[in-house]
Amino acid sequence: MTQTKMSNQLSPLNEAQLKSLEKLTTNLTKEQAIWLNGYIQGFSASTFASADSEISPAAVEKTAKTPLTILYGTHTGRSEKIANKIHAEATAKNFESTLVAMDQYKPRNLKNEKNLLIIVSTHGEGEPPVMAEDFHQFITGKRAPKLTRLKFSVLALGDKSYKHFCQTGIDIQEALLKSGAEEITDLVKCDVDYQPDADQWKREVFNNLHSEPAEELSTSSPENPTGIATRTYSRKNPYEATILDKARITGHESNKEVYHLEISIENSGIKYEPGDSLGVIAQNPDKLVDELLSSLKDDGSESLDTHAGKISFREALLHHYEITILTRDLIEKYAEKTNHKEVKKLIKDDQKLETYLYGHDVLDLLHEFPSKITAVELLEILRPLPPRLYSISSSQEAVGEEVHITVSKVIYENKGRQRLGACSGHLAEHKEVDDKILIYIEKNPNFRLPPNGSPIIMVGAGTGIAPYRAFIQQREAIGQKGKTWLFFGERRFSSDFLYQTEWQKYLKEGYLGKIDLAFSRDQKEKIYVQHKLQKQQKKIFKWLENDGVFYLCGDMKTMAKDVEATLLSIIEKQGGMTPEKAKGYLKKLKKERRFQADVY
Amino acid sequence: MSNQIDWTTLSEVEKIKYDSNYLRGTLKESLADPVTGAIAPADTQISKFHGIYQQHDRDVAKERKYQKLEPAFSFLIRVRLPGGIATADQWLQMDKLADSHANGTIKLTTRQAFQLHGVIKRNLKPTIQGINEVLLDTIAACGDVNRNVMSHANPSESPLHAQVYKLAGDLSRHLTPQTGAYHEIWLDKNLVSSSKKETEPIYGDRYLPRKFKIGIAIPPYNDVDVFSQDLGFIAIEAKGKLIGYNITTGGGMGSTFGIPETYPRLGDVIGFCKPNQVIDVTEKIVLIQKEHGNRENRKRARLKYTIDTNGIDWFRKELNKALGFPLEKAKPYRFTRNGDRYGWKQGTDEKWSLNLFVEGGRIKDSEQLPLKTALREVANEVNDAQFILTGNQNLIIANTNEKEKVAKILKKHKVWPTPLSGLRQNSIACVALNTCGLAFAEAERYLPDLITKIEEILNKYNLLKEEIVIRMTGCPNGCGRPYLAEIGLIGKSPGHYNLYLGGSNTGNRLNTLYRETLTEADILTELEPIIKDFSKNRLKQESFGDFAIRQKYVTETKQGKDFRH
Repeated sequence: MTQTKMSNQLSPLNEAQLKSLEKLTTNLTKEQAIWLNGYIQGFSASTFASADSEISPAAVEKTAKTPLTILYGTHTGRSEKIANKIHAEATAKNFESTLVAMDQYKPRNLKNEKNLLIIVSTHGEGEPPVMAEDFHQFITGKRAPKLTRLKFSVLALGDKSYKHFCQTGIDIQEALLKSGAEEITDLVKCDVDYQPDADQWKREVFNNLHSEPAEELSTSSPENPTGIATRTYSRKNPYEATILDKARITGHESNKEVYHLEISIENSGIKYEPGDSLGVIAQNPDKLVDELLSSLKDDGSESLDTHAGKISFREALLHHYEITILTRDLIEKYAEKTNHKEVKKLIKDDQKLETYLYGHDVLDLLHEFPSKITAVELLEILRPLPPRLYSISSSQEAVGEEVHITVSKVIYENKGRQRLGACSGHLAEHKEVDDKILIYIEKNPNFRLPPNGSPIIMVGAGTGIAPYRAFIQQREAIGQKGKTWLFFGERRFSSDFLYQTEWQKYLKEGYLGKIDLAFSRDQKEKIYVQHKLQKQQKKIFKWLENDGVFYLCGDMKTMAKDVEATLLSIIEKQGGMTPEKAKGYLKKLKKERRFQADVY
Repeated sequence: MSNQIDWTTLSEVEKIKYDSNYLRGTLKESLADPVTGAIAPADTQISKFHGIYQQHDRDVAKERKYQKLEPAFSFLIRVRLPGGIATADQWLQMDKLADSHANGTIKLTTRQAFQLHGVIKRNLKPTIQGINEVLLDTIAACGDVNRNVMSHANPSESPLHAQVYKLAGDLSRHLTPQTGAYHEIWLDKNLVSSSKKETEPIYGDRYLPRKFKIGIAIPPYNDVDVFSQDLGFIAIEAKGKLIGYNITTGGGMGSTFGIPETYPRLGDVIGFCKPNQVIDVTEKIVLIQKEHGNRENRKRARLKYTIDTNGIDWFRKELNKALGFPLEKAKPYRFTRNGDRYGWKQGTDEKWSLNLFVEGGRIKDSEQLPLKTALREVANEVNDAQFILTGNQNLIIANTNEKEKVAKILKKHKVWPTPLSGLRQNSIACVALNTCGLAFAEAERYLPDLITKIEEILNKYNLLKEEIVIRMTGCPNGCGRPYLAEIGLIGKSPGHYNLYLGGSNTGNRLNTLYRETLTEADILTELEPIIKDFSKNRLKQESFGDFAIRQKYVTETKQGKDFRH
């Protein structure tokens, strides 16, 4: 590098500054000079960015820097070390370089990347390091997006004494090529002694990247590039969505099957808010339909007039009529239609009827109170199969064109026969990733985050935790860290703590402030959320007094009732109120939308 | 004091120890945190000093990640048992705790300790209290302190046993941490009056740089693998009386793949001392290691590296200076085997002891072998029986007058007698997967099957009865002392092992890498021709390990520094 003599005529620096600068720049090595160049640029960019009026526009060249993202996945720290070095060099070379650890990177962002360097190691049987697992899974999985704008290169670290040498790097390279991305330079494999190969790769990367002219500053692409007018979808006109991901989120030793489903609404124009529900068109269990048909001695092929048009009896039972649940209305109509004495007796006894409605289905009714009802007559008394509603467990701010739900598979045995929920059973047993389901958004304006970031107390049992995941996702997405408190109840800590690792993360980051857990079966005595509320009653009341909002989500029959009763007693006790006054207080909360419930 | 320490150069654990306020850390807070089944990262270091390792079920780690659940954390609890002797009551309590608070099994370790696995966080305290009820504890069973002191196990084999066993207890007591933390955290007792400043007279506030292991052997038996210990004592007898001990220093097994400056090393015999000098010698050696051990790099922190770095002459000088007298010259001794000698034996006191083989050291019930039930029955019905854990993860039902009764119970459950190959009888496997966080491959869950397959080969060459020491570990850290085996197998990745040959059957020679990264098929293919050759060309009485060296399958590893993976 040629030394440039300082000239104070061309420089805005004063004598002393010039002297210091000259002293500093004399005998710089090339590397040092490059670094210093980058340092000064970065310094001026960050220091004067907001005060640019102080420097003349001509002094700063308006060149668009070439963006570069460097991702590393490491176990021993080697990849990180290399990544750090390249990042420093790239910054010095005037790239707009971003360095991210793989477990901190949202793979969704890949779509926005232009130049990507990946430095990743391989372990054991060709496995990625823990921090690279998610990225690896995403990029090699079905959800990998098209990445035709992307240029990339992979540096793969490994140990030659193992089989599947550098496999993780190779996997990622292949996946990126498959998704349409183009390589900046070939993948390089490094053995334990990685330095020479890593340096060679780095040189190749910079050679090839520099020959590219910096792209024009792109205007951000429009939200809806196809320009298709947004359609509204509804119960009558549901959207056919693709399942992106489905995972059981209770441990294998749990006796509950709870699934987390991620559903694509890409290009559908569907919009939702935290608190909304997702309507899912249900489908009855095949087995139940078959048994019902055989009990009616009907093959189901006959075409009949139904509320859904002229369709086969089997089709009607499978998709269009409610058969997994009994209602009072249905039993009354059945009694009327068949004149069955026993049934007539049953509907007169409220308590007996209530008991019978629980845990029985249409097949039970036909078995236990046989009659000569025909297919047409049966359809006349059955109600149309309603869609099932699930509280949405995602925030669109966070997940974009996806919607997440949390589904507990309804399954139980009664009278020697296994019963399956109409929708949850179908989703759990028959729907997999890439399958389609029919959905729509059911707005729920009565379950909303406070607009002003007021304190929130969220109480949920089981899948009642779903909307709170959406709430906290939302707050994280918009960077709001108000006072938040979650009460969650389930059976067992080890297997049923739904979204455990996410709550741990939110607690650590402060988006969730407090958590109280009630696991009913982890000790001799049963502990439920209301017991935890009771324990914290002083604080809860204080939160309520300070503009707090109380949310309740979960099973209506048991948990919701108990929680509301507990809340009343807390208001009574902590507020020093009579039962009447406490009721008034709660009423006021409800009116002010500071008590909101989503119970089912 | 703290500002004199340059923490930047020291290993992280040094700061954690220093900040822990004599092993308290934030364990109480960690135990009370309901959101996780784990304890805080720094506490996972401190808990080791309390005999507790945090682990998780690695079989389900991937699946749980996808389930958005944290790893299935649980804890290993190691119970200190100097010299390995438990009473029948203590056995029964361990048996009970295994069922009520752990995974239903007990692991007998290669250091004569009990281990419970799968204890979840909220059961830690009740478990330790249960252990305390029968006057056992877990303090210093792990951590950078003196670990469980081993001694020759079988009382019926030597009249010196009682003295040696007592010494194990004395050494253990002398080196037990003095902190009140253990009692405060686990037993809800406050031992230290608030006015008195707490100190650790031997260890100080950062304890040792690394673990420290002591074992005592009675020749000709080397069931404690005395050369693998940081500090070993070899009992020397004259005219039927114990006259003192040869001292070995600087043994240690652990090493790391890819870091050649870590290696297993055999202890050097540095001299002889009288029985009443043992405690003094031990304390001074511990203090030298405390002072000079490497606190910057934990992989180089064991006494073996302190000695190799400074030289054995330096070490001798330091020790003599600290003692104020020179050690006497070592006396002659001879070891014949490092394995256990199975079966009944009657001591000079007329009492009977039965050395049983326990595969992988695991006490459990299976359909074929209700071992746990059988032993519970013995403990319940034979009042005078002791249960002695051996350094080879086996068990001796000891010092009983009721030989017949024991035999009857064990026969009923088909526990004894059982025909076993010489290879199986001399096998050791560490825990490895699924709970040990260090393991790269299976060991305890797999070695029995592999042995069955090797037995087929041995049978072909009429060598089923041949006693061959085989040891498998899931990683190179060496809990199962694989570096001393005649057939050593160390896990490299799931289903792949390095094969080491040429160890001796007395524990006095390191083995040598023979082949790398073998699958099961590879292992069998590699072993068969050697076994065949052995059956044809061995010298009379020649052991498999000696043969492997004489026939140049491997060259002898003469010192730890030369060992390679």
